[in-house]
Amino acid sequence: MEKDGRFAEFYKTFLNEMNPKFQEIEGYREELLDKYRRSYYAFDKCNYKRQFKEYLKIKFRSKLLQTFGNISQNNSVAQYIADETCAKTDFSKVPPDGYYFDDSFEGSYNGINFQIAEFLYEDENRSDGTITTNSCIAMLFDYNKKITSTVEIVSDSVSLSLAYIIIFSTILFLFVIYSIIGKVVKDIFFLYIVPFVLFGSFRLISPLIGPNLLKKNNSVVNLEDPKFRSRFSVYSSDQVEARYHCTPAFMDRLYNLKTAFGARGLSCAFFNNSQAQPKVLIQIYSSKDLFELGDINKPIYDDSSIFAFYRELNSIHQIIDALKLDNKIGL
Amino acid sequence: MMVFAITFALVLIWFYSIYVSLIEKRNKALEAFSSIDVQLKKRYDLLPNIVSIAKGYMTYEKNLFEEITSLRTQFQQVGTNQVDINKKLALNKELSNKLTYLFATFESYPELKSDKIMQNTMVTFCEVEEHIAAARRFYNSAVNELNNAVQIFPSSIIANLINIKEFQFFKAESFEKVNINLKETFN
Repeated sequence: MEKDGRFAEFYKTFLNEMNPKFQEIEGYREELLDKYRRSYYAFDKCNYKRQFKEYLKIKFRSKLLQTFGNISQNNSVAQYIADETCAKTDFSKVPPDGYYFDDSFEGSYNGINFQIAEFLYEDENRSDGTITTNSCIAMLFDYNKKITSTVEIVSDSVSLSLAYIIIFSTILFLFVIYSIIGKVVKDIFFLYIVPFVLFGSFRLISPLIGPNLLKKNNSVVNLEDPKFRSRFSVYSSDQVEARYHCTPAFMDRLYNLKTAFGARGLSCAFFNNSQAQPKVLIQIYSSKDLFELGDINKPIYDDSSIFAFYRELNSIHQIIDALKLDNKIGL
Repeated sequence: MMVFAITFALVLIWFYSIYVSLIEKRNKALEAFSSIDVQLKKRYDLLPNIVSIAKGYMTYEKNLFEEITSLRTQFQQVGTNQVDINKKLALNKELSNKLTYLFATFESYPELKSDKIMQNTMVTFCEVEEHIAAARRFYNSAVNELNNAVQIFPSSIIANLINIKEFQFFKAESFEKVNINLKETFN
């Protein structure tokens, strides 16, 4: 994405807001940067980074959001999305297990209301001590088509990780049972060979049985696009309804969306909320902490982080445009 | 003897599982068939509304309205088994042809285009068209699964034994491949 005139206006707002407090902010950044450089543990470094970002968020973010369009910060949105999706979707759990709340917004674009919540998951690499941040963006959009039964689309990276958990825990259970039997029968076959074969076949069978294992009350929908089918699994109790929402054009757009965002995983669900209004939930798993302002390592007037924030906000509009959620006909 | 009994039992289980899978696939294809019928019925139920509103504005298209009404009556008289569904699909092709012509003539009637009830009816009609397309895709997907099982060894042998035949795919006729762009007509 290019830096356009709209971004220039966005950046100007930031500079106007920042100028009177420039010395104060830059002084605070340098103070934190000094602590950041002197700290030994990755966790402490991570905390100083976060502290600076939080500071900028409080100072500038709401003003920048106003400049961008009809979008505002609202911390109750995350709970709202969680409540709306709870018991409505099988795979798109909000928030995903282990993730904690970070940011949330609400707004509208082209007549489509949306709610967005970001959840984070930090993982420490034990060998080099670095901390990687994974994020999950849950986006709830209005939807113009009627929905009679829930349809869920899960990228295979998401469905496989769920399948791994189920299969792994099953194998672990079997291992315990075999160990108990092995102690009784003193048989090397029971004690070692069978668990070994089960573990060996774990990776082999997961992609084959994963989608069927997760289907619960829904059945697997085999859509005709082989490219889409290689990346996503679709579940619904109504085969016709699933195809009504997942038109060939929609499949193509969702596939491109995953590629464009470089998402590690993506899930999408069509369902009626508690007020029986049709909604689309899209969850994108990324390895970046999104919707952040500023970087402790760069001067605050550096426009790269502001541009990243602008680009991320713009991507919400792009999703509505790309999936043509504002169109009633021919999605 | 024991080995023979176990082998025989395993063969029986294998035979039965293929038999069950074939029956399931055939039933799924039949279910998909009936879902097309349900959607077609919805489409035909909307026709009287479209015709009655359009009649008020389009005074020179009397023959066209009569033909559409006649096709609808014929549709209602046909049953729902597999042979009848083919008849229904044939009628549907003919009707699509007439509707393409009807919607094209809407261009010449600006008052009709701005009629609120007509606009709403057309939106519903579009949704039904999309459901028909979805039902056709479901049918083709179910038929593909069934035909693969009927053609590929070893299930082909069992399919022959229990007389399960291949189903025909639903193919769009050339005139049906031309999109009826109702959205543009009513914008």
